[in-house]
Amino acid sequence: MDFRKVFRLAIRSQPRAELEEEFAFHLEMRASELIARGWEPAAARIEARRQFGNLEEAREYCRSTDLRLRKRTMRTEWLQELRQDVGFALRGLRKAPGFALVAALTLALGIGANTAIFSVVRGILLRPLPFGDPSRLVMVASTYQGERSTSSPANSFDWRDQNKSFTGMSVVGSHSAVLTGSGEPERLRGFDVGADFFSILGVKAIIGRAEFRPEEAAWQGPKAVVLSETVWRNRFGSDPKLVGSMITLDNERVQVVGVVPAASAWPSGAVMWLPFTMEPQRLAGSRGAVYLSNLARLKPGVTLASASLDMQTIARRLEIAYPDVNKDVSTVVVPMREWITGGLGTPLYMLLGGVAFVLLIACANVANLLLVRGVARSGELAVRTALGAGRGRLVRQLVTESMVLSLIGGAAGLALAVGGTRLLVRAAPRSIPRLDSIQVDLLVLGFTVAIVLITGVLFGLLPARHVVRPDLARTLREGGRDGGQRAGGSRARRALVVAEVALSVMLLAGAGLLIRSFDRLMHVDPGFRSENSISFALSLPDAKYGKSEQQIAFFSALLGRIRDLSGVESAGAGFGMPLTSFGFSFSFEVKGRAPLPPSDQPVAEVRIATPDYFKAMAIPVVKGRGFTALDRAGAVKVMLITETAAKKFFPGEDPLGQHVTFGWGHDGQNLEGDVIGIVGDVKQSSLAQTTLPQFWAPYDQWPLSSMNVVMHTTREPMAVVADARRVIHELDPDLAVAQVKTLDEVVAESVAQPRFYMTLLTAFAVIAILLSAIGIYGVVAYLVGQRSREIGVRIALGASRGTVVRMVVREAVIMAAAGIGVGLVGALALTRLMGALLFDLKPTDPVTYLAVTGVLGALALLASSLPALRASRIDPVLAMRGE
Amino acid sequence: MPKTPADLIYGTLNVLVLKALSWEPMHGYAISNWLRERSGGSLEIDDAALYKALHRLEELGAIGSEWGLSENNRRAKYYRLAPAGRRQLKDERAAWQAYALAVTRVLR
Repeated sequence: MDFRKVFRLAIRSQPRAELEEEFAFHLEMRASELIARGWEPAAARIEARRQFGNLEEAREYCRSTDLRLRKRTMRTEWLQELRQDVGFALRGLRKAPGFALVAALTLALGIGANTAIFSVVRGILLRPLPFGDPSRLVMVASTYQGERSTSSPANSFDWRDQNKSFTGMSVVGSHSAVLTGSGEPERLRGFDVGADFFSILGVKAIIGRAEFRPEEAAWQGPKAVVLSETVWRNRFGSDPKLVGSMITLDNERVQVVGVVPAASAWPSGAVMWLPFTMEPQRLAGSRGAVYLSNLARLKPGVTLASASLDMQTIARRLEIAYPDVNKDVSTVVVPMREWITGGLGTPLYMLLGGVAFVLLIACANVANLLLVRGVARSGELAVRTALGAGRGRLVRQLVTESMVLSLIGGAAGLALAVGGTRLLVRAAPRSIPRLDSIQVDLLVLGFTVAIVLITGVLFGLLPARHVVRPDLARTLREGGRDGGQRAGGSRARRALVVAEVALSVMLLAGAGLLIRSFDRLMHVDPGFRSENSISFALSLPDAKYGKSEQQIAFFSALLGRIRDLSGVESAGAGFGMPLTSFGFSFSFEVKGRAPLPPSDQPVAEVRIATPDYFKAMAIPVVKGRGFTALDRAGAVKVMLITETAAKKFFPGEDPLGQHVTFGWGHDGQNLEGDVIGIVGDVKQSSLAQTTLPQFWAPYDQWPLSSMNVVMHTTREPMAVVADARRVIHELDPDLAVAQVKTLDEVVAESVAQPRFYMTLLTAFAVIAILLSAIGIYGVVAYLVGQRSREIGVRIALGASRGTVVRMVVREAVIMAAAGIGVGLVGALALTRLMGALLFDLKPTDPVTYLAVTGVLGALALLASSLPALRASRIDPVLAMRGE
Repeated sequence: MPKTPADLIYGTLNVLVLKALSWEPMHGYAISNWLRERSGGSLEIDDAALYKALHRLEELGAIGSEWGLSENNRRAKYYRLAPAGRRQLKDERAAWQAYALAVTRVLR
């Protein structure tokens, strides 16, 4: 409606005419006075005009004052009417508390849920990253045959030195260490970074400096570390004198050079940063070892595309220079935001869409309630029209009423949202980044206000259109009682129910697909037993356990003692936990086969484990034998391979007895061994991932400093951990026990994200179908009420109760069928966007759609059965008598 | 006695109009005549200035208006004093009298 046009017309024309009339009156009166005194009429008119003075100027002046006055008057009137309408609406709601409560609660639920989900989307996807000018930050990743991967130090340094696109580029490599010397030893999650890492990131130190000096970043230079505010506060009581002092990390003295704000700590979970250093001789040979990420900042004016081109040119050059290790290796430049929140857009926007559907359904329900109420009030409104209230005025009054309702619902919804957001953050899996930046802020508040306004108009305007209608004579005559039977009103009501059902179908289809997909995911065999098992990570500092024999001796002593603990059935140590995306892949050669260039050699993941690890994890030995205590250092080197590896690398051959040599090793020795057995596959990075081929090597032949100890227990696993911790501290009080988790938790955490999305969308779908059921019930009950006279007549004429029930239920079934039809089409279109979230399931999964149809069909029957039964009990005599 | 153009002293016309309306609601023509009669013709009131003052006072809320029928049954715009105008009249009359008194004293 264009109110302004209407106003302007009124403002312009009316006062102008009045002003002319006023002046004309004056001039005529003066002229006739002069004529009475004997003047000639023509001369009298001229004299009157002369006496008036400057009429043109007065006209201009008065016009402008009139216009201003008029505008002000209209504004005050409008405000007065608004106040009237609001007061009227509040009185009306107070008179119908049941209606007000149901409507406000429905809206509060819809608005609250929308606000909560929006605050999550805002925090994770929309809030700027906590770095300086984050839009210029990028990650440069290596690609191998088009797949993104980490990069090697040598390649990373060549990229850094040769590029023309970045103001700076820094490697980022994981480096955790145990902090000792001040309280309980604690494993700190840290990263090796370039000297200018924080200046690239655009983060300044709170105290000290965030950059490393060149000598600190050099091999065997002075040891330096930057700590996060979190460690500074929790471990050192925010002591400003910490900067410049020495702390002990992995039994080495390291100088703290600065503290950076916790909010800017990156990568996620990092609490310390160390300068990346590498022995110069080893750097050249490191081109094949990929384990680094690369942070860079685009130079001013350089676009992502030109930077990508620059990097690809460099990669091509490196590919030609080092064909052995760089064949098919290129690079990709990814904006930082996408790097951090990539993959979260689809599920989060899906949730936002789902919750918007809930709000639409809530609106439809409230609109329905208002329609029913509006019909009840049509008599009152007709009287008001007859008394001179304009139709626009009445619409305004009705929309004001719905706005008041929407505001009440919005206020309650906001309270719900504040609580709901907190609940969401607590329930969300830790693997979702940036959870700490989620809060109800001004933008979220603005979003809420916007949806309150939209909601108010949405559910207010439709009933208003039907309530305010021109033929008031008829309405007055009928006392407004039967107004609802008019085709328009009940058609609108039915359309609302059809829309509700359609929206519910779409939501339920989405939720159903996620449920089915999750169910399939949970039926994937992880390859190990998770019940009654617990694991923890242990890392031996190089300063104390630098020699292989020391590491072997420690773990052998530790595992021996742990096995003796009561309640421990078996215990072993493995390198990296399954389902945690933790693993290293290397190329290898098989003895007796024609030698291949390194780039064409097969690649497999290598894992290291002690003999009892397989028992503790219940990983079966399918063929041959497993590791034993006899596979120790100095004995014949042995290896195990997984079933997938056996199939992939030794098709039609017996892998047992084959000798493999990997292109990686340590202490100057390549990892190698005779294959002595085949073990079951284990899902290493996630349940959804296709099983990768793996090799296992025995710990005593290939010792490492960081291992995960797994215990299978006969009693409460957590209690056993306490005993294990005691045993560890008896052996070495400076070791930190980290990542204590039951294997059930490991499995649960690996599916936490899909579970989270499934749970939320299912909750929305349940709310949606409940609201739809209420909607169907309300409309059918209303129609029965409207038609009670007709139904009475039918019963009197001999219709059976069954016929009446069928007739009423048919109403609901027709509406539901239309809704389901529309909904299924919509669902097919929308769920296509969910493909990335589904595991082993097509978005067109017929079982889901069948189930959705069944659920909503049953719902329609159920919701209409009560009013149908009531209809069948109508007493024909009472019904026909009138009320 | 020399005639004084009333719009030379802008505020004066306002207070005179308010005074005129303090008796009863009037239309512009009647106010014009009332002012001529009361001043004995010594104030030369320009009608254009009078209407400007009336519309200005209406915008300021000192006077209100409505359309009514004149003595000879014609539609005419009648002005009446609003509460704000009544206060203004009181204040301005006091100020004017104090001013006139002061000037008179000096000239005595």
